[in-house]
Amino acid sequence: MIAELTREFLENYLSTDLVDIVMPLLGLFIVVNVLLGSAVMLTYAERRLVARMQNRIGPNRVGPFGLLQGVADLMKLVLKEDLTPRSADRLVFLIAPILFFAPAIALFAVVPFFDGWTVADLDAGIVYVIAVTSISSLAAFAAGWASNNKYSLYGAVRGVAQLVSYEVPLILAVTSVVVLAGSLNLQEIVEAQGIPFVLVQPLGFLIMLIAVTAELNRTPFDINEAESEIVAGFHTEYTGTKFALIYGAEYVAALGWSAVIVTLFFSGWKPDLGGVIWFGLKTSAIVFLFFWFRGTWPRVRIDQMLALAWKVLFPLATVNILVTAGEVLAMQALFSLEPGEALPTAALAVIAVINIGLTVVTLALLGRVPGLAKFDQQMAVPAEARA
Amino acid sequence: MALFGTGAIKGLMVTLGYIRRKPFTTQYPEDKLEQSPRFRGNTFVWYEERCTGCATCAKGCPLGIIRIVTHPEPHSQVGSDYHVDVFDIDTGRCMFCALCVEVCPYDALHMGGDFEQASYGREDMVISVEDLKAMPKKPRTQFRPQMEMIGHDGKDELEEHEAGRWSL
Repeated sequence: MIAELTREFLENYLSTDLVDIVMPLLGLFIVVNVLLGSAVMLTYAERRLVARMQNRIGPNRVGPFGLLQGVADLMKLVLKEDLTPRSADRLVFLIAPILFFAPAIALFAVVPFFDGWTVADLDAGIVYVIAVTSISSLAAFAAGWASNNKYSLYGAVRGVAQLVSYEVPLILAVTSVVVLAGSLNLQEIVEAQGIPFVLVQPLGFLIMLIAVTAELNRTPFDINEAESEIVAGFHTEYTGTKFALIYGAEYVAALGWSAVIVTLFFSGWKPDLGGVIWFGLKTSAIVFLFFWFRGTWPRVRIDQMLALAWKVLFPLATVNILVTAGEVLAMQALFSLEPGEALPTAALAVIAVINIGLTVVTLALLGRVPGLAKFDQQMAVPAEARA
Repeated sequence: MALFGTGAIKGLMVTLGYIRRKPFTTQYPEDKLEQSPRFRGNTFVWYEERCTGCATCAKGCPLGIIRIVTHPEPHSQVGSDYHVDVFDIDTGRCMFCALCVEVCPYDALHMGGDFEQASYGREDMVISVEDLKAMPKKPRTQFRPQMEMIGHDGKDELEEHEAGRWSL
């Protein structure tokens, strides 16, 4: 609707061909600016929320309630001296933050904000998401390597180990959704969700959530920038605008992955309650989850991190795909559907009941593994800290 | 037999409960923490009437940053009563050990409770006799716990006869 009005307005001044070029650029302009603004505000939101979880107040000095803290931080970073270590690989050192930031923004090209509101409605949208976001592991390694600093390199090596490991369960969890929806297009995946896929794919959602937390280098998987161990990991040597780019990219990526999770598991912009705002609220809820994790859980060790990816999530995700595929085939036979036809809500409900049961059984079985039970106990805040 | 993830969720619930709590933070320039009576700031309280100018504080100072110059009062016998002309305490080098307070035989020198004494130069950190005379007479009970027995908590002004051993 708004798009049509804008198009009519522009056609008064420009030729139709030119409007066809200007319209996507306008969309891009709006999306990128909203994203950059949200990233600045997210840094403030995270600091306030995590502070409250630690019985502190958090930044409340700059502007009303400290709302302008992010702006102040950004201005400070941009005005700072731009240092490059003497022994750094200057070109790679310069490119790495850009390489880090670009995929985070590019991720939003395919996100369906609303019915028909997509910058680029790709047929293989989810493949694009996975392809684009895996660039960030390269960027993290480039940053760590180019800094020529042992802590940077440690962070980079850890980061690559982590990102490569968690890419696998992530893609497998996404695949199970794709199998259910019968489409790679994000808009069609949203439309296929008669009931939100969290209920149909609870295990897939959990795997996705854990894998995305690792993919974003957020606590408890922030071992590649673990400040208490290796200074700041791969971005130890970065200052000024370059650091602002890396720091901002983490928040934009958090926002992007939350949007993808909402699209895949929480039926995107459906149901239509206030258009984009509803989508934004859902995305914010997922972002809050990441902040909540950061405020709660201790950092995992690298061996725990790799073991969780390869010994738990990878087999679970694989079995999950098999089970889902079997269920979809069974439902197609039961409801006598053509192959590729979207599953009706009744079929999804049946799968949901089976899968929720299976997930509970799986979690109970995992709880019986001594190592995992101990790992799980570490994640609870010890009782003495509650006083 | 717990489900895998119960520990993680238990942890999440703890932090969620913390959000509703009132933060512990004291917002310093607006609010200040309650000080204990024996708190040491970086000021001193000096009772001129109690001081004999014996300079024991200057001798007791491990850093030697107290400088005292006296002269005999004109109408008194030499050696019995001195007038303090100079009493410089260089707080720029002071470590606030309160040994000068401890050694004072007449309980004339006490620690003060103020701590906002930042300045732009080292020379401004020297406390002179005039500064000492102008200081509010609110002695802290560091090395003078007997003042707590008369109910002094460091917040109120004390007369010179109250601020020492003879008051008991």
